Amino acid sequence: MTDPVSLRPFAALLPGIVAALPILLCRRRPNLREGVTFLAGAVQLAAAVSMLPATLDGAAVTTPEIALLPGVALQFRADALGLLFLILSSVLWLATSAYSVGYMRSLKYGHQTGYFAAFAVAAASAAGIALAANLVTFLICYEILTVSTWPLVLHLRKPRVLASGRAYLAYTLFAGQLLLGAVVWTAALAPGAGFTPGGFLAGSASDGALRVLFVLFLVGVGAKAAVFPLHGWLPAAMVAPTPVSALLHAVAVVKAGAFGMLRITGWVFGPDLMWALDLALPLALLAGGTILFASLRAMTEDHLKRRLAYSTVSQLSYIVLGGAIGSPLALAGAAFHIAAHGFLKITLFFCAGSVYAATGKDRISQLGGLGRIMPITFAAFAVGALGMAGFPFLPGFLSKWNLGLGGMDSGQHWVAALLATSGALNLAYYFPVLKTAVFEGSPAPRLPYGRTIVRAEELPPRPRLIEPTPWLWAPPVFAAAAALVLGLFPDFGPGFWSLAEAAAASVTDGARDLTALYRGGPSR
Amino acid sequence: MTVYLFIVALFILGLGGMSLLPNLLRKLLAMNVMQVAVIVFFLAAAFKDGASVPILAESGPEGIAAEGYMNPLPHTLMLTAIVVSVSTTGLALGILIRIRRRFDTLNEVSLLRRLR
Amino acid sequence: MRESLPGLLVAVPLAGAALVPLIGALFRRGARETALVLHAGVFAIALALFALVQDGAPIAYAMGGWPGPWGIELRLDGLSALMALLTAGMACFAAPLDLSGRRSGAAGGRTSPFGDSLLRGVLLLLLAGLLGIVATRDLFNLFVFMEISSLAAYTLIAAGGGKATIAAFRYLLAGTAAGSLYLFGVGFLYALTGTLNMDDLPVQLAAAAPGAALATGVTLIAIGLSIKAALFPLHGWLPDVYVFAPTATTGFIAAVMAKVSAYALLRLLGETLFGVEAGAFVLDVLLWLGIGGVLVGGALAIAQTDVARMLAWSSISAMGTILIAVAVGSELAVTAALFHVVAHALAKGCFFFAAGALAGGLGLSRVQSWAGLASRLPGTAVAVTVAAFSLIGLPPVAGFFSKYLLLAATWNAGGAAGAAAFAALIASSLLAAVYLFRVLEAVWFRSPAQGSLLAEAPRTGPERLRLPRPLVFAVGALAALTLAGGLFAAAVERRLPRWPLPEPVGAASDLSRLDSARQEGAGTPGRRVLR
Repeated sequence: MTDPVSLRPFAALLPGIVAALPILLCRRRPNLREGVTFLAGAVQLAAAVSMLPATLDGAAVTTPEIALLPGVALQFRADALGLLFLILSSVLWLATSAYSVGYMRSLKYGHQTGYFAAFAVAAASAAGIALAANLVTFLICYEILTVSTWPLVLHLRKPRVLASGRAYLAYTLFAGQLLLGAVVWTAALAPGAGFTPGGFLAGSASDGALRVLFVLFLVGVGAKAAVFPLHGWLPAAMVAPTPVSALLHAVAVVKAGAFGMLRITGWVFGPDLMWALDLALPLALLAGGTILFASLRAMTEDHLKRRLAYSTVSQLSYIVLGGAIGSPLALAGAAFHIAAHGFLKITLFFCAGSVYAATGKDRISQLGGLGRIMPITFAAFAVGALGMAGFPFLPGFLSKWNLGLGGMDSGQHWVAALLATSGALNLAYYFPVLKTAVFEGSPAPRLPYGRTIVRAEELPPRPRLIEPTPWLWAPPVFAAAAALVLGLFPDFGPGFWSLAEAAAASVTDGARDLTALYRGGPSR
Repeated sequence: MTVYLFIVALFILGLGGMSLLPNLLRKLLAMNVMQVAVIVFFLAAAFKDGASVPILAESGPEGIAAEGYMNPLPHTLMLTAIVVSVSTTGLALGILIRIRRRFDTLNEVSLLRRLR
Repeated sequence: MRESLPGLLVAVPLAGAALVPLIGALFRRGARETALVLHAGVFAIALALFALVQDGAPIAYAMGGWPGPWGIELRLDGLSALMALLTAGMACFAAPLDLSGRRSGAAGGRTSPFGDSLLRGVLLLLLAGLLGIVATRDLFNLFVFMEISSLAAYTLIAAGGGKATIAAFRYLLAGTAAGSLYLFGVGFLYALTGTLNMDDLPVQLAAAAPGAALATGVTLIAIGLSIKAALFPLHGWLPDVYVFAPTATTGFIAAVMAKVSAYALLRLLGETLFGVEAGAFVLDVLLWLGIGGVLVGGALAIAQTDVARMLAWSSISAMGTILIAVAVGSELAVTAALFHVVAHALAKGCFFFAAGALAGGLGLSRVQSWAGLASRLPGTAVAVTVAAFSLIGLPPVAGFFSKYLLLAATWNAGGAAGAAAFAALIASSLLAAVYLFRVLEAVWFRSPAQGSLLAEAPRTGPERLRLPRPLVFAVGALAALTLAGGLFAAAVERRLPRWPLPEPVGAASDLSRLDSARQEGAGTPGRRVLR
């Protein structure tokens, strides 16, 4: 089927960039400024959803090529995988914006105008990464994402924060330059090639050269995906305000890296070439190792957000694992996990931020009793935690189930065992959080937001609920509810599962019906 | 051939003086030596045994016997080069006067210490 | 009219150099305005020439009615017209500024009867010299124009007074040594061929037997021009000059002067002497020196605490980059080099004007003293950020696209040298990211030190910090052009001249052989490399 050529993908890309200017101009009118953000997010989401029917029919809305240099063109294309990521990031950008309003205002953080402007540009570049039709477009959006998230990470401007910001830049810019090298190399091997389902590099160079090229790509994209040993920046970046962490993990940066890994494995190299070059298994093992390492490492962290960060390192390696294995079910599971992890992890971050905004506490050992006086927040947290562990009826289950089946299909039986182990580890590091919050300690007194020193007259006579403003509890509840719906009806709404299925089918060989694979035999 | 060896020696002497001498005025003099080497090089290259200055006495119907005259072009080029050299030296002296007034020394080592 | 434009391109600023001080001495006023009109006129001539040569036919002007190879020919093809446009354009930004560059507090001294009109005349002289280098087809005339521009530059630098005089004198020694080496080399070529014309020379050389004299001449020319181009390891004069010269002078010479010498290097080694074995060998050496310069310049830029000195080392790194592309010499490489020349001139000019304004006017010369700049001078902060992105090579500004082209060109060159250049270019971006993001971090995210100028200055009201208006214009316009060069990279690239690569006459070096092999196997050039 030929792809309809249209400018519509730009409608999904431009709102964030265009909105940055009015956001900067509305410095003195915060409500109007945030209104611009919501408007831009709504336009982006609407544009994304409007491209859905064509994509589900198997045709991707494509923009005309915009020549940048000879043989180098900017082009965007809303294929199934890209649209899945785009819709997810649009929805979560809106949720995070709402949450940001509550969080930044409760804690009375400064520089909010620059914050929302950088946020809008970051969201737009994430959309660009989702829709990029070729490597150069991907690279440009990827670098803009790096520099637009840098001010967000540095938002608090303390010395420790500046050091973390340097670590963030060191990893991401280094990776970006290696990616640039890899993109130039690829352009020399296959001039003018865009992302092609099943890859386009087969036979274009010697096996050794392609392996070196793959390592460049792996470092270039893997640093953002926080694949071990390139994950160091992610826990360090937890010094940022919580909505920024949510953005980094669920909407833009790390997710963009994992998305990029899927693009590289499925759309540049292709599963067949990956196996032929003996790259698939090492990458799968690297991802598996990252999953276990990060899960174990998460247990040792008392700082709640850092524990969540290691959880992300672990969870995003599922996506890399699926891309490495490259069988239809594994790819579908990996693609679906982009959405599943997005909703679940953003729930967890929103909860952690609400707790901090309401009580100033950010360590797990300090959470004692908070679950009893912040029931809504911790209920949402429980949904996120169980979903991360792969509990049935939550979206994490579906992605892991398919990953496991995909592993079995390709003869990689260890994948199933790995997933089971990792699920258990997930429970082991999330459960203590809930246990401490619900069953231990005495509830904290109600405090004005952002304050930690208690005066005697401020102590309430008895514990009562201290749920913060709706701006802070509604987004996590929304995200948790969305996760529940996604778990129960994976095709509800935009049809994340159908998109994941379509993406996987396009990479493997066209119109293979994945639902049949549940019933039928192995695919290989 | 000897003249070329002399020229090369002069050039290297000038270049070496420019880099090794500690006093800025001496460096400037060395620079002049180096420039003179290049000028002499052009003049020596234009020299022909038994040829006269290129002022045409008469020209017969068979044309001018070029081998009888030296090539005038290098000489004119070197006139320009000398002008360039003189202007450079003049400017350099002007700058040196300013340096001397401001820093009370023309010793490069102590000047460089002031520069950092 | 068309044929006389190249003559006017040089003659107008040359005449202006005499006219402007005269007006200053006679009328005491109007010199600055006259100079501005002349600069605008030269820019208009350069623009007209650039537009006229787009059809591919060069425009030649025979000086005194003597055509080449006997007379001196001024000729503008696409390449020289681009350099002329860039030079004249950058001069327009420097022209309205205060050229005396007295730092605050250091003012005084005798007032000359010419006022500042002398220096304005000298700037026009510098422009005339640079445009002459770009336009001339005669080797000796090139030397004369080189010395004219250098003398003017020494004067402008020394006008900064104080430490600038020391920097100017050291530059004078290095520059004169470079000029003499070049002239020495030209002497060898002239003795061998009897011609100074760049078109005639290859013809005569094809007949001459390659020998030690030819190799010596070529090497001397290359060394001379490399000093002027500040190519590593002959860059020693550059940092002090860029640090101590007046703001306007630094911004202008940092943007174009070394690049014009690199242009001469490309003209002579890449075109006139391309067939000469020694020329190819020298290009090979230049490639490795360029790699060295890229890395050393970047590494030493990191070590600096003074913004201007950091930028100076960054320029040495950038000249290395340009020399790499010149040495690779393929069509793509020269296109990349020209794109980089333009992108770097815009960004570095912008950065140097901003740095000079802050260091000269406000005394903010150290990286740390820029802390909190964004809150007091937000416009400058944005411009500096755009320039820094371009110097690092981040999208969507011009530097990204020149970096992309450079990488593609070096990759296609293949071989060990190509691979090393490719790696060095990537490393140079990373080094630039280290030293420039340090500046950006201070500008945007650090708070000014207690009691410092930026901490004390109010954010709003009539007392707030402001830079001189011409500087604001220069910094803002150059940043805008840097951004536009990125957003409209395709349009810029299309207007860059295509490098006419002559066929190698004699035996070519490894690199040029690889290069011609690349052209045969076009399409899949990368394959050969790692197999």
